[in-house]
Amino acid sequence: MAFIECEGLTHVYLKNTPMETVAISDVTLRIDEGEFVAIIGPTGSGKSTLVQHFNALLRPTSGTVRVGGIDLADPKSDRRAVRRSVGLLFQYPEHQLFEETVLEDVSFGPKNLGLPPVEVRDRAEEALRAVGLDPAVFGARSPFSLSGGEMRRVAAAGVLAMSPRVLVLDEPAAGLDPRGKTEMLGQFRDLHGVRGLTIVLITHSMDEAAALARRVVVLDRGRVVMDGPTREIFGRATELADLGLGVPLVTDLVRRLRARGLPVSEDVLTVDEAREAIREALGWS
Amino acid sequence: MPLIEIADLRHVYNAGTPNAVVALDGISLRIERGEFVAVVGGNGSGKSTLAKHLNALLLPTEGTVRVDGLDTRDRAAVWEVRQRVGMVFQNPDNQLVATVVEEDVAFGPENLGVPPDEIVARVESALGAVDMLAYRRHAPHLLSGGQKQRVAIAGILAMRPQCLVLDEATTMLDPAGRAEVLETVARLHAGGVTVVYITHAMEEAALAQRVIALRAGRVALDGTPEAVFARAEELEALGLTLPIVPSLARGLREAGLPLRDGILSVEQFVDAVAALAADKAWRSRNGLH
Repeated sequence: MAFIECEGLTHVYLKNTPMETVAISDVTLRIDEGEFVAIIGPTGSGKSTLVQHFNALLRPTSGTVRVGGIDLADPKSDRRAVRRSVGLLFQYPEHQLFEETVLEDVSFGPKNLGLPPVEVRDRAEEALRAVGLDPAVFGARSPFSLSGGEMRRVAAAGVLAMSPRVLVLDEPAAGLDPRGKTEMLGQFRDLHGVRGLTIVLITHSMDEAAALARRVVVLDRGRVVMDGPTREIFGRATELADLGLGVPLVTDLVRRLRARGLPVSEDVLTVDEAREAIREALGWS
Repeated sequence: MPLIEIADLRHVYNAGTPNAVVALDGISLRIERGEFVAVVGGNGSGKSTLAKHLNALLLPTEGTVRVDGLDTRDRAAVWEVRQRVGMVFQNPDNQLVATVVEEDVAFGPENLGVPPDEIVARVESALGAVDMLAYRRHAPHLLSGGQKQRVAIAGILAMRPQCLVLDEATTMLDPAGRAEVLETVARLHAGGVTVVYITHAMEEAALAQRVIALRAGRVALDGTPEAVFARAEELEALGLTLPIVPSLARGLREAGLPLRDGILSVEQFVDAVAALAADKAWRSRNGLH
């Protein structure tokens, strides 16, 4: 059953003013529990606006959004329940750290749920471990003494400590160094693969989308223009290029090898797949 | 005389307090006129601190930074230094000040006291150089991220600088925006501007003529991209990775394919693999192995 279900979802900012802007328009989309979906699209295509409906930060101007069966268009709907089940990690979330220690920062959400102190602590420590930070080492430190990548992970732990069923990530690796990026993305892969979290990833990086997601949704000017399995979407290179997007670098590289007459499989999304496809095409194994 | 000459530069934040942090720890570098240098390094390696020394936004705790012969610690020379070296930062929304594109670009030369006629000419040529003339009367906040960064670059070009420093200027942009900024930078470099390009994106660093990798406030590697990206293990130890194409080439070499070293671009890679396939076909036709 779909966990997130949008139908004819439209959001207009500053409606009935001269600044009125249609951010998303007539979006119909279902996301099932256990999926790993990437949302891609040029700047201003409505990606962030769309996902802010998933945890009830925005209310539809028209159309409906149902999350875990709760209809968010209904003013009496239980928005708090939706925010507990869908955790949203904003862009540059490290700017939102504020407590004196890492453990207190991660405990903030569960504490506000009114959970008993022992459970708050358990959840916070568990969430820190899930993002690769040992609570015994990092728990007592000030968040502001950490590296950029570590701060980002503390922010992610704060969202995980709420035990969400869906994790929505808005450019989670932007601005991290290569090691921080690899580690951060590896943790989200595990949260999906090992813990079964549903993940919605907004990214500008086609390589990231290709390496992580099984399904890709493409937005352009507020509308869903493509939606399908990752391999199928990145097989549509010309359409993506017309939108100012692209395909993973190795997918492009393999296409060029084919254009030079090399019988390389076209179905290549990652560096590992490219290596194997080229070896095979050259008969080098 | 090199355009930028850095000798034994140390920078300590909060020097003399218990919170003192050594950000740069003995950097010596020369950047020649017309070079295109990429600076890479993990978070906290000192890249942005170094960048801010290039136009006197920060001053050395120890050592010297000379720009076109001017010592950045010389207070009387600060504006001359800043006129020579312009900076573009990460967030396109924090750098534009005016409500109309051409006024934004005019802001710098106005502050330099450039005469009005000359300002008009400079704004026109700067917007032309970043291919944004068609937007001269637009409101900056309605532009795309890539367009905003190009306007920010134009604002610097209008000061007629010798060197452009970009500090993760493409990090927040979508693929089209990145491509726009990279094309603009390549074009300005071809026109003689010295470029210092700070980035976490190894693919972008590979486009420079020279790559400098920092670790803990020191220069760890300094050479052509071919030389630096041949040292995969050392890069990994710095928290960095190979760009995708050299990484794929390396994987294939480890699998036994005789691919040459120093392959950086998709074009070079495709040529090398096609040559290998042709060679193999020729050998098998002639009964060789």
